Amino acid sequence: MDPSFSNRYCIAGIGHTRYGALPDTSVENLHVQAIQQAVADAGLTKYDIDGVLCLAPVSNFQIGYAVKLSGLLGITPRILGALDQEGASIITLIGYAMMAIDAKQCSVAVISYADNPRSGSRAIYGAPRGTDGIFGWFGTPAAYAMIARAHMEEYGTRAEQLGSVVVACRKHAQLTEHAERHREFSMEQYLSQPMLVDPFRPADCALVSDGGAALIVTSLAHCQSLGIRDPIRILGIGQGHQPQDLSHRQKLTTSGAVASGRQAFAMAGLGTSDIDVAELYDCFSITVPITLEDYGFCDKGEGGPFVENGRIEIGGTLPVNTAGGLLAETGLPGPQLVIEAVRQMRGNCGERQIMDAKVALVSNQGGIMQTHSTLILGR
Amino acid sequence: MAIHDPHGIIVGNIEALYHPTPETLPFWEGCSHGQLWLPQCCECRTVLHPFDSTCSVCLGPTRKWIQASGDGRMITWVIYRRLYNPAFTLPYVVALIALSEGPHIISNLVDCSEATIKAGMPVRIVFDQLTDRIVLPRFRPHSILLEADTYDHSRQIL
Repeated sequence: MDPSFSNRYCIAGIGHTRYGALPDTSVENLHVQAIQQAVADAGLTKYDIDGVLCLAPVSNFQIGYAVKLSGLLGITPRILGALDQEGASIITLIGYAMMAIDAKQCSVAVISYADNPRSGSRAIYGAPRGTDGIFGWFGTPAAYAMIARAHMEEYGTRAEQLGSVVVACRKHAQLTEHAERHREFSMEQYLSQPMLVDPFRPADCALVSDGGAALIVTSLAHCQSLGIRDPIRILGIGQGHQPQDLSHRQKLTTSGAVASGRQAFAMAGLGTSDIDVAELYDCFSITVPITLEDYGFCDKGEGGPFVENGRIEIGGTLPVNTAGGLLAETGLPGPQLVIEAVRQMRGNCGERQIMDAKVALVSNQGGIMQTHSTLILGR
Repeated sequence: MAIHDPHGIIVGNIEALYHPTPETLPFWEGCSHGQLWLPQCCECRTVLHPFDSTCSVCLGPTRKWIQASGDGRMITWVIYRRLYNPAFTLPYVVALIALSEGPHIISNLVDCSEATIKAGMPVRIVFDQLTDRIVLPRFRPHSILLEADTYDHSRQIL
Protein backbone atom coordinates (compact mmCIF):
# COMPACT_ATOMS: atom_id res chain seq x y z
CA MET A 1 0.00 0.00 0.00
CA ASP A 2 1.00 3.61 -0.38
CA PRO A 3 3.26 4.84 2.44
CA SER A 4 0.62 7.48 3.25
CA PHE A 5 -1.41 4.64 4.78
CA SER A 6 1.40 3.76 7.20
CA ASN A 7 0.98 4.60 10.88
CA ARG A 8 -2.62 5.81 10.48
CA TYR A 9 -4.49 2.58 11.27
CA CYS A 10 -4.29 0.08 14.08
CA ILE A 11 -5.38 -3.22 15.46
CA ALA A 12 -7.56 -2.25 18.39
CA GLY A 13 -8.73 -5.63 19.63
CA ILE A 14 -7.94 -9.33 19.39
CA GLY A 15 -9.88 -12.39 20.39
CA HIS A 16 -10.02 -16.12 19.90
CA THR A 17 -11.75 -19.23 21.16
CA ARG A 18 -10.08 -22.30 22.59
CA TYR A 19 -8.20 -24.20 19.88
CA GLY A 20 -8.05 -27.92 19.18
CA ALA A 21 -10.89 -30.44 19.05
CA LEU A 22 -14.15 -28.67 19.84
CA PRO A 23 -16.78 -31.17 18.66
CA ASP A 24 -19.59 -29.75 20.78
CA THR A 25 -19.44 -26.21 19.39
CA SER A 26 -20.70 -25.16 15.96
CA VAL A 27 -18.53 -23.09 13.62
CA GLU A 28 -21.08 -20.28 13.93
CA ASN A 29 -20.74 -20.32 17.71
CA LEU A 30 -16.93 -20.31 17.47
CA HIS A 31 -17.06 -17.39 15.07
CA VAL A 32 -19.35 -15.28 17.24
CA GLN A 33 -17.34 -16.11 20.40
CA ALA A 34 -14.11 -14.98 18.75
CA ILE A 35 -15.64 -11.71 17.59
CA GLN A 36 -17.19 -11.08 21.00
CA GLN A 37 -13.75 -11.56 22.60
CA ALA A 38 -12.12 -9.14 20.14
CA VAL A 39 -14.84 -6.52 20.60
CA ALA A 40 -14.52 -6.80 24.40
CA ASP A 41 -10.72 -6.67 24.17
CA ALA A 42 -11.02 -3.36 22.30
CA GLY A 43 -13.44 -2.06 24.92
CA LEU A 44 -16.22 -1.75 22.33
CA THR A 45 -19.64 -3.24 21.78
CA LYS A 46 -20.90 -5.05 18.69
CA TYR A 47 -22.82 -1.91 17.72
CA ASP A 48 -19.50 -0.13 17.13
CA ILE A 49 -18.73 -2.53 14.26
CA ASP A 50 -19.71 -1.13 10.88
CA GLY A 51 -17.50 -3.36 8.69
CA VAL A 52 -17.63 -7.18 8.68
CA LEU A 53 -14.86 -8.84 6.66
CA CYS A 54 -14.07 -12.52 6.83
CA LEU A 55 -12.72 -15.66 5.20
CA ALA A 56 -15.38 -18.35 4.88
CA PRO A 57 -14.64 -21.73 6.53
CA VAL A 58 -12.09 -23.52 4.37
CA SER A 59 -13.31 -27.04 5.17
CA ASN A 60 -16.92 -26.18 4.46
CA PHE A 61 -16.89 -23.28 2.03
CA GLN A 62 -20.16 -21.43 1.55
CA ILE A 63 -21.28 -18.33 -0.30
CA GLY A 64 -22.70 -15.28 1.41
CA TYR A 65 -20.70 -15.94 4.55
CA ALA A 66 -20.22 -12.32 5.68
CA VAL A 67 -23.96 -11.67 5.40
CA LYS A 68 -24.64 -14.78 7.44
CA LEU A 69 -22.08 -13.72 10.03
CA SER A 70 -23.55 -10.22 10.32
CA GLY A 71 -26.93 -11.82 10.97
CA LEU A 72 -25.39 -14.02 13.69
CA LEU A 73 -23.93 -10.86 15.24
CA GLY A 74 -27.29 -9.13 15.07
CA ILE A 75 -25.88 -6.11 13.26
CA THR A 76 -26.30 -4.48 9.86
CA PRO A 77 -22.81 -3.22 8.98
CA ARG A 78 -22.23 -0.50 6.39
CA ILE A 79 -19.87 -2.77 4.47
CA LEU A 80 -19.32 -6.52 4.51
CA GLY A 81 -17.76 -9.28 2.46
CA ALA A 82 -15.85 -12.53 2.43
CA LEU A 83 -12.54 -12.59 0.60
CA ASP A 84 -10.83 -15.72 -0.63
CA GLN A 85 -7.07 -15.52 -0.79
CA GLU A 86 -6.95 -18.81 1.11
CA GLY A 87 -4.40 -18.55 3.94
CA ALA A 88 -3.31 -15.06 2.88
CA SER A 89 -6.79 -13.61 3.45
CA ILE A 90 -6.57 -12.22 6.97
CA ILE A 91 -3.72 -9.74 6.39
CA THR A 92 -5.15 -8.78 3.02
CA LEU A 93 -8.49 -8.06 4.70
CA ILE A 94 -6.71 -5.80 7.20
CA GLY A 95 -5.42 -3.81 4.22
CA TYR A 96 -8.86 -3.67 2.60
CA ALA A 97 -10.38 -2.54 5.90
CA MET A 98 -7.88 0.34 5.97
CA MET A 99 -8.89 1.36 2.44
CA ALA A 100 -12.58 1.19 3.36
CA ILE A 101 -11.98 3.34 6.45
CA ASP A 102 -9.94 5.77 4.35
CA ALA A 103 -12.86 5.95 1.89
CA LYS A 104 -15.18 6.62 4.85
CA GLN A 105 -17.19 3.50 4.05
CA CYS A 106 -16.79 2.30 7.61
CA SER A 107 -14.88 3.20 10.77
CA VAL A 108 -14.50 -0.01 12.81
CA ALA A 109 -14.03 -3.30 10.96
CA VAL A 110 -13.95 -6.81 12.36
CA ILE A 111 -11.84 -9.37 10.49
CA SER A 112 -12.46 -12.94 11.46
CA TYR A 113 -12.29 -16.64 10.77
CA ALA A 114 -13.64 -19.84 12.26
CA ASP A 115 -13.74 -23.44 11.11
CA ASN A 116 -13.85 -26.97 12.54
CA PRO A 117 -11.93 -29.30 10.20
CA ARG A 118 -10.71 -31.36 13.15
CA SER A 119 -14.17 -32.34 14.38
CA GLY A 120 -15.90 -31.89 11.03
CA SER A 121 -14.40 -32.84 7.68
CA ARG A 122 -10.72 -32.63 6.83
CA ALA A 123 -11.35 -34.15 3.40
CA ILE A 124 -10.11 -31.02 1.63
CA TYR A 125 -6.58 -31.56 2.96
CA GLY A 126 -6.33 -35.07 1.46
CA ALA A 127 -8.27 -34.56 -1.76
CA PRO A 128 -6.95 -35.47 -5.22
CA ARG A 129 -4.95 -32.56 -6.62
CA GLY A 130 -6.90 -31.34 -9.65
CA THR A 131 -7.09 -33.94 -12.38
CA ASP A 132 -3.82 -35.56 -11.29
CA GLY A 133 -5.30 -37.82 -8.60
CA ILE A 134 -4.87 -40.72 -11.01
CA PHE A 135 -1.11 -40.41 -10.46
CA GLY A 136 -1.65 -40.81 -6.71
CA TRP A 137 -1.24 -37.04 -6.31
CA PHE A 138 -3.29 -36.42 -3.17
CA GLY A 139 -3.24 -33.96 -0.33
CA THR A 140 -1.77 -30.63 0.67
CA PRO A 141 1.34 -32.06 2.44
CA ALA A 142 2.60 -33.69 -0.79
CA ALA A 143 2.37 -30.44 -2.72
CA TYR A 144 4.49 -28.58 -0.16
CA ALA A 145 6.80 -31.60 0.03
CA MET A 146 7.45 -31.10 -3.70
CA ILE A 147 8.61 -27.57 -2.91
CA ALA A 148 10.70 -28.79 0.04
CA ARG A 149 12.40 -31.38 -2.16
CA ALA A 150 13.15 -28.76 -4.79
CA HIS A 151 14.71 -26.53 -2.11
CA MET A 152 16.76 -29.45 -0.81
CA GLU A 153 17.98 -30.34 -4.29
CA GLU A 154 18.74 -26.77 -5.29
CA TYR A 155 20.31 -25.45 -2.08
CA GLY A 156 21.27 -28.49 -0.04
CA THR A 157 18.64 -27.85 2.63
CA ARG A 158 18.57 -30.77 5.09
CA ALA A 159 16.00 -32.60 7.21
CA GLU A 160 17.66 -31.24 10.38
CA GLN A 161 16.98 -27.71 9.13
CA LEU A 162 13.28 -28.42 8.59
CA GLY A 163 13.39 -30.03 12.02
CA SER A 164 14.85 -26.86 13.52
CA VAL A 165 11.67 -25.00 12.51
CA VAL A 166 9.48 -27.67 14.07
CA VAL A 167 11.51 -27.82 17.29
CA ALA A 168 11.45 -24.01 17.65
CA CYS A 169 7.67 -23.86 17.21
CA ARG A 170 7.14 -26.73 19.64
CA LYS A 171 9.39 -25.04 22.24
CA HIS A 172 7.46 -21.79 21.94
CA ALA A 173 4.12 -23.57 22.22
CA GLN A 174 5.24 -24.92 25.59
CA LEU A 175 5.29 -21.31 26.80
CA THR A 176 1.82 -20.62 25.39
CA GLU A 177 -1.06 -21.64 27.58
CA HIS A 178 -3.67 -21.83 24.82
CA ALA A 179 -1.41 -23.68 22.33
CA GLU A 180 -2.40 -27.18 21.23
CA ARG A 181 1.04 -28.84 21.43
CA HIS A 182 2.53 -28.71 24.89
CA ARG A 183 4.83 -31.70 25.08
CA GLU A 184 8.56 -31.46 24.62
CA PHE A 185 9.68 -32.35 21.13
CA SER A 186 13.35 -32.87 20.34
CA MET A 187 15.31 -33.07 17.11
CA GLU A 188 15.80 -36.79 17.80
CA GLN A 189 12.03 -37.24 18.05
CA TYR A 190 11.60 -35.30 14.83
CA LEU A 191 14.15 -37.33 12.91
CA SER A 192 12.78 -40.64 14.20
CA GLN A 193 9.25 -39.92 12.95
CA PRO A 194 8.37 -42.12 9.95
CA MET A 195 7.92 -40.19 6.71
CA LEU A 196 4.41 -39.19 5.66
CA VAL A 197 5.17 -37.96 2.16
CA ASP A 198 8.95 -37.99 1.85
CA PRO A 199 10.65 -35.52 2.58
CA PHE A 200 7.90 -34.59 5.09
CA ARG A 201 7.20 -36.22 8.41
CA PRO A 202 3.89 -35.59 10.20
CA ALA A 203 5.58 -32.97 12.39
CA ASP A 204 6.38 -30.87 9.29
CA CYS A 205 2.65 -30.33 8.75
CA ALA A 206 0.25 -27.79 10.27
CA LEU A 207 -2.17 -28.90 12.93
CA VAL A 208 -5.74 -29.47 11.83
CA SER A 209 -7.75 -27.44 14.32
CA ASP A 210 -11.16 -26.23 15.35
CA GLY A 211 -11.39 -22.66 16.52
CA GLY A 212 -12.18 -19.05 15.76
CA ALA A 213 -10.19 -15.82 15.85
CA ALA A 214 -10.97 -12.16 15.22
CA LEU A 215 -9.33 -8.72 15.02
CA ILE A 216 -10.69 -5.20 15.22
CA VAL A 217 -9.22 -2.65 12.80
CA THR A 218 -9.81 1.07 13.04
CA SER A 219 -7.95 4.31 12.41
CA LEU A 220 -5.71 5.96 14.99
CA ALA A 221 -7.88 9.05 14.50
CA HIS A 222 -10.90 7.14 15.81
CA CYS A 223 -9.07 5.65 18.78
CA GLN A 224 -9.58 8.52 21.18
CA SER A 225 -13.33 8.84 20.67
CA LEU A 226 -13.68 5.04 20.85
CA GLY A 227 -11.58 4.85 24.02
CA ILE A 228 -9.09 2.37 22.55
CA ARG A 229 -6.40 2.01 25.19
CA ASP A 230 -3.57 0.16 23.48
CA PRO A 231 -3.74 0.42 19.70
CA ILE A 232 -1.04 -1.46 17.80
CA ARG A 233 -0.01 0.53 14.77
CA ILE A 234 -0.10 -0.89 11.25
CA LEU A 235 3.11 0.21 9.56
CA GLY A 236 3.23 -1.91 6.42
CA ILE A 237 1.04 -4.19 4.32
CA GLY A 238 1.81 -6.08 1.13
CA GLN A 239 0.66 -8.94 -1.02
CA GLY A 240 2.21 -11.08 -3.74
CA HIS A 241 0.93 -14.04 -5.70
CA GLN A 242 1.98 -16.65 -8.20
CA PRO A 243 0.28 -19.26 -10.42
CA GLN A 244 -2.01 -21.69 -8.62
CA ASP A 245 -0.60 -24.92 -10.06
CA LEU A 246 2.96 -25.97 -9.35
CA SER A 247 3.15 -27.00 -13.01
CA HIS A 248 2.62 -23.39 -14.10
CA ARG A 249 5.44 -21.91 -12.00
CA GLN A 250 8.85 -21.25 -13.45
CA LYS A 251 10.43 -21.54 -10.00
CA LEU A 252 9.11 -23.48 -7.02
CA THR A 253 11.44 -22.28 -4.29
CA THR A 254 10.59 -18.56 -4.45
CA SER A 255 7.22 -17.30 -3.24
CA GLY A 256 4.96 -14.26 -3.39
CA ALA A 257 6.79 -13.14 -0.24
CA VAL A 258 9.35 -11.36 -2.44
CA ALA A 259 6.82 -8.86 -3.84
CA SER A 260 4.71 -8.81 -0.70
CA GLY A 261 7.65 -8.17 1.63
CA ARG A 262 9.05 -5.47 -0.62
CA GLN A 263 5.73 -3.58 -0.53
CA ALA A 264 5.29 -3.93 3.22
CA PHE A 265 8.84 -2.83 4.06
CA ALA A 266 8.65 0.08 1.61
CA MET A 267 5.32 1.24 3.05
CA ALA A 268 6.72 1.06 6.58
CA GLY A 269 10.03 2.65 5.60
CA LEU A 270 11.77 -0.19 7.45
CA GLY A 271 14.16 -3.03 6.65
CA THR A 272 14.75 -6.54 7.94
CA SER A 273 17.15 -5.27 10.62
CA ASP A 274 14.26 -3.35 12.21
CA ILE A 275 12.23 -6.51 12.88
CA ASP A 276 12.28 -7.69 16.50
CA VAL A 277 9.93 -10.66 16.15
CA ALA A 278 8.43 -12.53 13.18
CA GLU A 279 5.28 -14.60 13.00
CA LEU A 280 5.61 -16.57 9.75
CA TYR A 281 2.96 -18.73 8.14
CA ASP A 282 4.30 -22.22 8.85
CA CYS A 283 1.64 -24.42 7.32
CA PHE A 284 4.60 -26.65 6.51
CA SER A 285 8.13 -26.36 7.89
CA ILE A 286 9.68 -25.45 4.52
CA THR A 287 7.73 -22.18 4.30
CA VAL A 288 9.77 -20.63 7.12
CA PRO A 289 13.20 -20.78 5.43
CA ILE A 290 11.67 -19.77 2.08
CA THR A 291 9.81 -16.81 3.58
CA LEU A 292 12.93 -15.65 5.47
CA GLU A 293 14.92 -15.77 2.21
CA ASP A 294 12.22 -14.01 0.20
CA TYR A 295 11.89 -11.23 2.78
CA GLY A 296 15.64 -10.73 2.63
CA PHE A 297 16.68 -11.91 6.11
CA CYS A 298 19.27 -14.06 4.32
CA ASP A 299 20.36 -14.84 0.78
CA LYS A 300 18.31 -17.16 -1.41
CA GLY A 301 19.10 -20.72 -0.43
CA GLU A 302 20.46 -19.75 2.99
CA GLY A 303 17.16 -20.23 4.82
CA GLY A 304 18.18 -23.72 5.97
CA PRO A 305 21.33 -22.64 7.80
CA PHE A 306 19.50 -19.49 9.04
CA VAL A 307 16.92 -21.45 11.05
CA GLU A 308 19.54 -23.65 12.77
CA ASN A 309 21.27 -23.28 16.13
CA GLY A 310 18.38 -21.60 17.90
CA ARG A 311 18.53 -18.46 15.76
CA ILE A 312 14.73 -18.41 15.32
CA GLU A 313 14.00 -19.44 18.91
CA ILE A 314 13.11 -17.03 21.71
CA GLY A 315 16.48 -15.65 22.78
CA GLY A 316 17.83 -16.02 19.24
CA THR A 317 18.61 -13.21 16.82
CA LEU A 318 15.18 -13.38 15.14
CA PRO A 319 12.51 -15.11 17.24
CA VAL A 320 9.95 -16.70 14.91
CA ASN A 321 6.47 -17.98 15.77
CA THR A 322 6.69 -17.13 19.44
CA ALA A 323 3.39 -18.88 20.27
CA GLY A 324 4.12 -21.96 18.12
CA GLY A 325 2.54 -21.02 14.79
CA LEU A 326 0.44 -23.39 12.68
CA LEU A 327 2.80 -26.23 13.60
CA ALA A 328 2.17 -26.05 17.35
CA GLU A 329 -0.17 -23.23 18.50
CA THR A 330 -3.13 -23.98 16.24
CA GLY A 331 -3.72 -24.80 12.59
CA LEU A 332 -6.02 -21.86 11.81
CA PRO A 333 -5.07 -20.21 8.50
CA GLY A 334 -3.38 -17.04 9.75
CA PRO A 335 -5.27 -14.95 12.31
CA GLN A 336 -3.40 -16.46 15.29
CA LEU A 337 -0.12 -15.12 13.86
CA VAL A 338 -1.47 -11.57 13.73
CA ILE A 339 -2.89 -11.97 17.23
CA GLU A 340 0.46 -13.14 18.62
CA ALA A 341 2.24 -10.21 16.95
CA VAL A 342 -0.25 -7.84 18.59
CA ARG A 343 0.40 -9.49 21.96
CA GLN A 344 4.15 -9.15 21.48
CA MET A 345 3.72 -5.47 20.63
CA ARG A 346 1.55 -4.96 23.72
CA GLY A 347 4.30 -6.58 25.73
CA ASN A 348 2.08 -8.97 27.65
CA CYS A 349 3.36 -12.35 26.49
CA GLY A 350 4.77 -13.39 29.84
CA GLU A 351 7.55 -15.98 29.59
CA ARG A 352 7.65 -15.79 25.82
CA GLN A 353 7.74 -11.99 25.59
CA ILE A 354 10.53 -10.68 23.37
CA MET A 355 12.09 -7.94 25.48
CA ASP A 356 11.78 -4.42 24.10
CA ALA A 357 10.11 -5.68 20.92
CA LYS A 358 8.94 -2.64 18.98
CA VAL A 359 8.37 -3.94 15.44
CA ALA A 360 6.72 -7.23 14.48
CA LEU A 361 6.49 -8.88 11.06
CA VAL A 362 3.68 -11.27 10.12
CA SER A 363 3.25 -13.37 6.99
CA ASN A 364 0.11 -15.08 5.75
CA GLN A 365 0.19 -17.49 2.84
CA GLY A 366 -2.38 -19.49 0.94
CA GLY A 367 -2.83 -22.58 -1.14
CA ILE A 368 0.40 -24.23 -2.22
CA MET A 369 2.50 -21.11 -1.62
CA GLN A 370 0.46 -19.31 -4.30
CA THR A 371 -0.86 -16.34 -2.33
CA HIS A 372 1.07 -14.26 0.19
CA SER A 373 0.45 -11.24 2.38
CA THR A 374 2.69 -9.35 4.78
CA LEU A 375 1.97 -7.16 7.79
CA ILE A 376 4.34 -4.99 9.80
CA LEU A 377 3.12 -3.81 13.20
CA GLY A 378 4.70 -1.36 15.61
CA ARG A 379 4.17 0.06 19.05
CA MET B 1 -13.00 -53.35 -14.03
CA ALA B 2 -9.83 -55.44 -13.63
CA ILE B 3 -6.64 -53.48 -13.02
CA HIS B 4 -3.28 -54.72 -14.29
CA ASP B 5 -0.74 -52.06 -13.47
CA PRO B 6 2.61 -53.11 -15.01
CA HIS B 7 4.37 -51.04 -12.35
CA GLY B 8 2.18 -52.22 -9.49
CA ILE B 9 1.29 -48.76 -8.17
CA ILE B 10 -2.45 -49.03 -8.67
CA VAL B 11 -4.27 -52.09 -7.36
CA GLY B 12 -7.84 -50.88 -6.95
CA ASN B 13 -10.60 -49.12 -8.81
CA ILE B 14 -9.52 -45.72 -10.12
CA GLU B 15 -12.46 -45.03 -12.43
CA ALA B 16 -13.49 -42.14 -10.16
CA LEU B 17 -10.10 -40.50 -10.72
CA TYR B 18 -10.23 -40.83 -14.51
CA HIS B 19 -12.34 -38.17 -16.11
CA PRO B 20 -11.43 -37.12 -19.62
CA THR B 21 -13.39 -34.09 -20.80
CA PRO B 22 -14.09 -32.95 -24.33
CA GLU B 23 -11.11 -30.59 -23.92
CA THR B 24 -8.64 -33.24 -22.63
CA LEU B 25 -9.83 -36.21 -24.69
CA PRO B 26 -7.09 -35.88 -27.36
CA PHE B 27 -4.46 -36.23 -24.59
CA TRP B 28 -6.02 -39.42 -23.20
CA GLU B 29 -6.73 -40.86 -26.66
CA GLY B 30 -3.09 -40.24 -27.55
CA CYS B 31 -1.99 -42.14 -24.45
CA SER B 32 -4.16 -45.08 -25.44
CA HIS B 33 -2.22 -45.13 -28.72
CA GLY B 34 1.15 -44.87 -26.97
CA GLN B 35 1.60 -41.24 -27.99
CA LEU B 36 1.94 -38.00 -26.05
CA TRP B 37 -0.15 -35.18 -27.50
CA LEU B 38 -0.07 -31.64 -26.12
CA PRO B 39 -2.26 -28.64 -26.91
CA GLN B 40 -0.65 -25.68 -28.64
CA CYS B 41 -2.12 -22.20 -28.82
CA CYS B 42 -3.03 -21.40 -32.45
CA GLU B 43 -2.33 -17.69 -31.86
CA CYS B 44 0.98 -17.45 -30.00
CA ARG B 45 2.12 -21.07 -30.49
CA THR B 46 2.83 -21.64 -26.79
CA VAL B 47 2.79 -25.36 -26.04
CA LEU B 48 0.33 -25.79 -23.18
CA HIS B 49 -0.20 -28.19 -20.31
CA PRO B 50 -2.40 -31.09 -21.44
CA PHE B 51 -5.22 -29.99 -19.13
CA ASP B 52 -5.06 -26.27 -20.05
CA SER B 53 -8.23 -25.34 -21.90
CA THR B 54 -7.05 -21.77 -22.48
CA CYS B 55 -3.76 -20.03 -23.28
CA SER B 56 -2.70 -17.91 -20.31
CA VAL B 57 -0.08 -16.13 -22.44
CA CYS B 58 -2.21 -14.52 -25.17
CA LEU B 59 -5.70 -15.75 -24.19
CA GLY B 60 -6.09 -17.08 -27.73
CA PRO B 61 -9.39 -18.89 -28.18
CA THR B 62 -8.25 -21.95 -30.10
CA ARG B 63 -5.79 -24.77 -29.59
CA LYS B 64 -4.47 -27.50 -31.84
CA TRP B 65 -2.89 -30.76 -30.71
CA ILE B 66 0.73 -31.63 -31.52
CA GLN B 67 2.63 -34.84 -30.91
CA ALA B 68 5.37 -34.46 -28.29
CA SER B 69 8.62 -36.36 -27.83
CA GLY B 70 7.86 -37.83 -24.42
CA ASP B 71 11.28 -36.71 -23.18
CA GLY B 72 11.77 -34.49 -20.20
CA ARG B 73 13.63 -33.81 -16.99
CA MET B 74 12.80 -34.26 -13.32
CA ILE B 75 12.09 -30.98 -11.54
CA THR B 76 11.13 -32.38 -8.13
CA TRP B 77 9.39 -35.36 -6.57
CA VAL B 78 7.86 -36.85 -3.44
CA ILE B 79 7.62 -40.42 -2.18
CA TYR B 80 4.30 -41.40 -0.65
CA ARG B 81 4.78 -43.46 2.52
CA ARG B 82 1.21 -43.16 3.74
CA LEU B 83 -1.84 -44.09 1.71
CA TYR B 84 -4.34 -41.40 0.79
CA ASN B 85 -6.41 -43.72 -1.40
CA PRO B 86 -6.84 -47.49 -1.07
CA ALA B 87 -6.49 -47.98 -4.83
CA PHE B 88 -2.73 -47.34 -4.52
CA THR B 89 0.18 -49.28 -2.98
CA LEU B 90 3.17 -47.84 -1.14
CA PRO B 91 5.68 -46.53 -1.72
CA TYR B 92 5.23 -44.68 -5.00
CA VAL B 93 6.86 -41.63 -6.51
CA VAL B 94 4.94 -38.61 -7.79
CA ALA B 95 7.13 -36.32 -9.88
CA LEU B 96 6.92 -32.92 -11.49
CA ILE B 97 8.48 -33.22 -14.92
CA ALA B 98 9.55 -30.55 -17.39
CA LEU B 99 8.70 -31.83 -20.85
CA SER B 100 11.14 -30.96 -23.64
CA GLU B 101 8.36 -29.01 -25.37
CA GLY B 102 7.96 -26.74 -22.31
CA PRO B 103 5.00 -27.74 -20.16
CA HIS B 104 5.53 -29.14 -16.67
CA ILE B 105 3.36 -32.12 -15.76
CA ILE B 106 2.62 -34.32 -12.76
CA SER B 107 3.19 -38.04 -13.27
CA ASN B 108 4.80 -41.07 -11.64
CA LEU B 109 8.48 -41.93 -11.84
CA VAL B 110 8.90 -45.69 -12.32
CA ASP B 111 11.78 -48.15 -12.79
CA CYS B 112 14.09 -46.08 -10.60
CA SER B 113 15.54 -46.78 -7.16
CA GLU B 114 14.72 -44.01 -4.69
CA ALA B 115 18.37 -43.29 -3.90
CA THR B 116 19.23 -42.47 -7.50
CA ILE B 117 16.49 -39.90 -8.16
CA LYS B 118 17.94 -36.46 -8.87
CA ALA B 119 16.58 -33.11 -9.92
CA GLY B 120 17.47 -32.52 -13.55
CA MET B 121 17.59 -36.24 -14.33
CA PRO B 122 16.52 -37.03 -17.93
CA VAL B 123 13.33 -39.08 -18.15
CA ARG B 124 11.30 -40.60 -20.96
CA ILE B 125 7.62 -41.46 -21.12
CA VAL B 126 6.20 -44.97 -20.82
CA PHE B 127 2.56 -45.86 -21.31
CA ASP B 128 0.99 -48.20 -18.77
CA GLN B 129 -2.25 -49.88 -19.81
CA LEU B 130 -4.21 -50.24 -16.58
CA THR B 131 -7.65 -51.22 -17.86
CA ASP B 132 -9.36 -51.66 -21.20
CA ARG B 133 -9.80 -47.91 -21.46
CA ILE B 134 -7.22 -46.32 -19.12
CA VAL B 135 -3.63 -45.89 -20.33
CA LEU B 136 -1.50 -43.79 -18.01
CA PRO B 137 1.59 -41.83 -19.11
CA ARG B 138 4.45 -42.31 -16.66
CA PHE B 139 8.16 -41.61 -16.80
CA ARG B 140 11.36 -43.56 -16.22
CA PRO B 141 15.00 -42.53 -16.16
CA HIS B 142 16.21 -42.08 -19.70
CA SER B 143 19.62 -43.61 -19.03
CA ILE B 144 17.98 -46.85 -17.92
CA LEU B 145 16.01 -46.80 -21.12
CA LEU B 146 19.22 -46.59 -23.12
CA GLU B 147 21.29 -49.03 -21.14
CA ALA B 148 18.89 -51.80 -20.26
CA ASP B 149 15.62 -51.55 -22.05
CA THR B 150 13.42 -54.04 -20.28
CA TYR B 151 10.15 -52.27 -20.88
CA ASP B 152 7.56 -54.25 -22.77
CA HIS B 153 7.01 -52.18 -25.89
CA SER B 154 4.26 -54.50 -27.09
CA ARG B 155 1.99 -52.36 -24.91
CA GLN B 156 2.63 -49.42 -27.17
CA ILE B 157 0.95 -48.94 -30.47
CA LEU B 158 3.31 -46.59 -32.23
